[in-house]
Amino acid sequence: MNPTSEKRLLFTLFVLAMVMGSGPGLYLINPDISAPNPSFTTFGLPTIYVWGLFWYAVQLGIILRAYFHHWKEEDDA
Amino acid sequence: MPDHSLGSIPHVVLGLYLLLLLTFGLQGYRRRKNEHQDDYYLAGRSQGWLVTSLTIMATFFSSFALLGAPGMVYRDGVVFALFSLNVPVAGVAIYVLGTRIRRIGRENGYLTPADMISAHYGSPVALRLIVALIGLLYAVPYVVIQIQAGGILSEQLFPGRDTFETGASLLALITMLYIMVGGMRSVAWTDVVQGGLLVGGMLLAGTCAVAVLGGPGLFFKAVASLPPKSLSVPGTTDYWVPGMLFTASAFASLGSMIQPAQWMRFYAARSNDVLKRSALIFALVLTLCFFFGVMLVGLGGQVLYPLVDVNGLYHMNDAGKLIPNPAVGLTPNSFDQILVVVLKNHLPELLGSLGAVLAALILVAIMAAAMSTADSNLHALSALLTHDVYDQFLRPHASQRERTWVGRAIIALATLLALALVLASRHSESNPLSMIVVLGLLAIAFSTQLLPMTVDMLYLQWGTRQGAIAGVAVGLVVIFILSPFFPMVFGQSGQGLIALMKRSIDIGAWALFFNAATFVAVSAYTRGTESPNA
Repeated sequence: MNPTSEKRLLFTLFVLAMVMGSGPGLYLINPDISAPNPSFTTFGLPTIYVWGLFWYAVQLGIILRAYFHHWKEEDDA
Repeated sequence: MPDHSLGSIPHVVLGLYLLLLLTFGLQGYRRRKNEHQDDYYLAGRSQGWLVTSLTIMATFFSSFALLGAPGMVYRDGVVFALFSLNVPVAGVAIYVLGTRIRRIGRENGYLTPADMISAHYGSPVALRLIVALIGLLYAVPYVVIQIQAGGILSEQLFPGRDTFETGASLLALITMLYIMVGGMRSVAWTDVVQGGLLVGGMLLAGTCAVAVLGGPGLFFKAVASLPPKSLSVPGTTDYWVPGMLFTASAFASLGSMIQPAQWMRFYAARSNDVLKRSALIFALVLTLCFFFGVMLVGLGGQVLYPLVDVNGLYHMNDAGKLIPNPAVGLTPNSFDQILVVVLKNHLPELLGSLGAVLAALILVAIMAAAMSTADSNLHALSALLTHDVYDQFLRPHASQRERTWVGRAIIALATLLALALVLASRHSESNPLSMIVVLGLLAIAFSTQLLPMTVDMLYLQWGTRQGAIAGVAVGLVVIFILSPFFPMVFGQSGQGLIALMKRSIDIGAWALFFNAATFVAVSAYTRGTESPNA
């Protein structure tokens, strides 16, 4: 993948992580409190907390990739 | 609940810390190279990566992070932990916006955001004044929050008469003193100490909250048994619907990164590499501090000080508003005290004298967070009003020495104004200053209005002066209409629609939407028809 395409992909993924992590993506995992036996945890942790950690990991991965491969200093003065 | 005194330890630790800050103020004064504004406001544009990262962190993290965030998790539950995801966005903004701001600022010798914006749009009067106004509207409430934190801390640590007032006044006056004496150098050096303290303090606070409940296993087992609303979206008060959480996270981070104090930190960085490293450190370290630090204190707080009584009913005040457990406080704003209450009451119980020392250190970290943000905002405000108003319109031929002294006078006046607001609202029947997070997001809403023209200026270069002015003006009007101050002035007219708007997305995001739409529409209409120098 050429650098420009990869930059666009990283940008898109980062925006996706924002939307999924703290935005409408939450509807996918939000426990239904009116259900008879709602489940609020995943791996023993609150599901919403695990969801946040997952998307943080995605964001951090994108930042690390950008830091090492795309963020330049050529315009340093 | 047992209420353990921390003895004289907080007095000693706080005393040493405050002495250190004043020493930095004096050192900054002695190390100054001249009375030039570049030196007083930007430390000679020579800051390296360690100072830059820590000063950006310390300016970003305030009592919002150390008291407000755990307070909001304590009130609304785990949903607010997701607000942590705003931090990586802010980290990216340091690189994406900060490096361009630094390069253009250095090439042209700019001192304030208004220098760059007014030069780009050819608006030496209107836009310069508007940007200075935004700086003022952002800085004052943000400084108010920090001074409030000093009061909260003092009230919890040193029970007695007027301790809130004493703590708030002390924090305000000491901060004011060391900025006035040492300028940007003192602010940056104290930010290094304060940045280190608050990173350590946040992680330590989370660790302590988990330890108090018996370790990670027992902690999360207890958390899993919290009321369903505490473990789901939109939280206990139904406030944090995904639209609200998303817009608050996304735009709060961007608004925080282009507020004047951060903008001037970009100018002060020695190189773009410094900002690149700062961006990475910021995104990596600070998000962890949120997720594994203060957010856990809020959750642990819900276990230790339940929001519901033995019958499963939420604690409410006479006006029907949710209040915390009576052991934490009796007003809807008292949720912000949860971190201090947990540390003060449980850490000495768990660890004895060591616990008291750790609690005192974390409490000093809160003080550090509050002071480091207050100092940066006061310092930036001084630059804005001195350079963008006094120099430009009142006394253009004033000497450097006179300008520096005017800047110091502005710091003193702004600090006293913020302190007066805190003290007056404390004794007001209808306290307009709400929870820290709510007031903080209102302040950030103002700085977010710089975003459309900043992005245009740095990347697109398409908009016009008229578009920029009209966009910001509309944005500011929208914020006012949606703020708690509108009904105070105009009564309850239109409150149905306003309430609906306020429930759906963040105030700053609404204002940004109208701002950007106006900016685009007016720019499209006026392109090619501009006259110079409005």
